[in-house]
Amino acid sequence: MTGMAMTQTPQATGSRLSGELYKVVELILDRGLVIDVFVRVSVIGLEVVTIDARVVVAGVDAYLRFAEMCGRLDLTGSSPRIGRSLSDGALPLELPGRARTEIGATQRKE
Amino acid sequence: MSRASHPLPLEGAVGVGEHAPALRLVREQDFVAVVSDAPENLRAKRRDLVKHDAVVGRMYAAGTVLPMRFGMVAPDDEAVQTELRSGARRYGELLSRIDGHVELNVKGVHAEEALLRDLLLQNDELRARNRALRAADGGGHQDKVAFGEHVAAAVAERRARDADQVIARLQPHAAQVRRGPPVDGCFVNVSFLVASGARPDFDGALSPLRRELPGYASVELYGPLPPYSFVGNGV
Repeated sequence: MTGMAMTQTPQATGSRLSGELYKVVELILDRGLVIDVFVRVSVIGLEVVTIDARVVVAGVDAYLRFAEMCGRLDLTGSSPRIGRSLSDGALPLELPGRARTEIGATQRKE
Repeated sequence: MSRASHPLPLEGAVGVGEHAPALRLVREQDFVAVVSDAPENLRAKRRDLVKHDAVVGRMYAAGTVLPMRFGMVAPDDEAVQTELRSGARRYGELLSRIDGHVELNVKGVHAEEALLRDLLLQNDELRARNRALRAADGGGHQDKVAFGEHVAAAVAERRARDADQVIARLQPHAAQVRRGPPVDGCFVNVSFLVASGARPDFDGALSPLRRELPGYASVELYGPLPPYSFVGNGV
């Protein structure tokens, strides 16, 4: 065994902003070391989380939604770079538990 | 969990649960685990996630650490020692593999309206069907569903294509890649295990990637993070 093998990452301290924590909350809940013989506490009811937010682009609801969105689109103007500004700021990503149904997502609590 | 030689900068950090139990160390051979007493009837709350991540984050900032998945509960300290002993080889290998590496998480989102606009503008058939439905005052239920299904397939194709592109551009700078769980609204959620020496190259690849992706796609980088995605089973 060696000593301290990693000395970089000064910005990754225990005081990480909770804002960022929630952007990666699915990793803390769904990744990380698992020891099979140990028990895992239930995260049911943990309001932050739907660990298994399946993003589904399928199902009648999603189809209808797409059809309606397309019907409302104005295709005469052109704004092909409309999404570019998003990369300047934070993701419009909400906590998974908020049950956004952006693309007809279905959510399942574990 | 870490090597016994870890500096363990844990002053002030506490365990999960309403009463914020003190942290303890369980040592066995070359390893050390940071534990706390699990409260009875523990029901995980948001603040517990924050505490868990704070402990992992402190450990990670000062040395290599194997981040536990949130909420693992052992019967007692002896069980932890037994595990450290019996899993010594696996843990040693995992620690060696992540020494000097960080996890970088990349999420990408599509601006949905802009994506749909692009799909329609580039696909004559979809555009014609959209026009026909509009002319029919929205069309019947079946027509709408059938049209929407086609659009959904096209959306799924773009999601997959753009996800592949994100991974292809960043993968060369990473030691390992692992897709994260699906996240609402994201067309890609992927983590990279990146050597500290490769950080500049990885970060440098982001700008060209952003330029290369379609205008309706944006990507965000989160990290460096403790290597949650690279210590689990099957990695």
